[in-house]
Amino acid sequence: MKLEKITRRIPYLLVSFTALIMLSALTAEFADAKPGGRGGGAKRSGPASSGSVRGGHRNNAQDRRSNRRDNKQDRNQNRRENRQDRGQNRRENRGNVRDERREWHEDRWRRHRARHITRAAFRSLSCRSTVIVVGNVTYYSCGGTYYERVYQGGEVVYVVVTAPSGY
Amino acid sequence: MRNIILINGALFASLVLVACGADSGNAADPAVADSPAVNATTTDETATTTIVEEINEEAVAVLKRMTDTVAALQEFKVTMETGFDVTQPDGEKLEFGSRRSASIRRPDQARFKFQKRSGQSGQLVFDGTDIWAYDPEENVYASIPQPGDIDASLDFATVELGFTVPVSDFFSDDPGAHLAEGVITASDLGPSTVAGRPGRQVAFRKPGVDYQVWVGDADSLPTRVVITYKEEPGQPQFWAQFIEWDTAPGSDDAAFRFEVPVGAESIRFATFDGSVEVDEGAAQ
Repeated sequence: MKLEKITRRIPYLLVSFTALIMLSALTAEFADAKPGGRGGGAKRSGPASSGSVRGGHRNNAQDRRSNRRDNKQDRNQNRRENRQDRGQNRRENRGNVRDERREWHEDRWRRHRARHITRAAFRSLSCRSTVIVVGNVTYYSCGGTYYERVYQGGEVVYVVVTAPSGY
Repeated sequence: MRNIILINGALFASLVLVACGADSGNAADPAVADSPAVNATTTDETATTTIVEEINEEAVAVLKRMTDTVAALQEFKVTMETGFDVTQPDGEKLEFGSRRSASIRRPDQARFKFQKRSGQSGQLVFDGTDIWAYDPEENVYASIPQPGDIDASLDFATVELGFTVPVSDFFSDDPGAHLAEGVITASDLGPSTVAGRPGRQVAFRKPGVDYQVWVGDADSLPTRVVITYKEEPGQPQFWAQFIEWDTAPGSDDAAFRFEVPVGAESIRFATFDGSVEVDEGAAQ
């Protein structure tokens, strides 16, 4: 009785087995064309990407950044003390560098909370972006959101910005 | 030398216990447990401090020979193949990597090029006055004033701008300080040939980091480095194979000048903080 039942099921089993093989072949084909599974969504950097014997990049960077902040006052003090020893040209040059740096820092902190997306994510946005140039800056508008390309963390990303003046 | 640590007796006792436990359960790490490189462990019972010395002097000498050689090069170009593990949130460990080159001209000029395995490439240039970054795929560049020596620029580029410059410890003005600083143990693993180049394998442990360097016999330049991040999830590793060292590239000034490519657009450097990471969920 049991054997009979199994025998009757053989054709069905064969059909499902064939279907399974065809399905996996199809999946394999897709996998060739496009990263499958975790694929494109994989985390692609971490502590080991720093390649430094001074520890993983994140903790290391934070330590060094706080050191930098701690030292900043000392350095500024030293700089002031040394100022008289330096030539006029050099002083002006240094001042310019510092001004530029300060402007950049202010900019940096103002934009600190800016949302951003990767270039790949930008390309896969559903709308077609329009390009707007205001001053020297190129903005990309997509579905009412404005983006600007910037270097962030060593990568070119698209940050969400407020609409440029006039838009 | 910084190879002697002073710790109090109680701390030493617990350290020994931890070390024994770790060694007995870690057969894959014989270099540290059984290595003849462990010279001596001296304890001074009468004093409140204990001196632990697990430094093989030959290993230190090999490292010093290498770092002195690199530090003495006023100009060089090195090409390398690199790889690193990234532990995924679910624990799976995946490897990514890139082909890189570094051209250095002391005291303040450098050009770093990379091409990731995914195809993405880029450049970072220190011309002595500014730092320049270029992305050929997007055809954009950015620059920021950064006068100063290579160490200062490397620090600024990695800490403030968030760039990754692997094995930058070797390009530093004082590679010896970067590599030997805080070393707890040093082991000499003996002769080891990498990519047909005979050399010596030496291994070092620092707090949280183990690293191994292969130093060529012929030129005292590194042929390979492997770094293990012991305190990070999954203990990921980084490796670099130095393919070619050109110690007399004879490059002209143009090699360290950034020429804006035709049609390239200038963009800005934006925020970077170690706690903010580029969105995942998309290929680089």
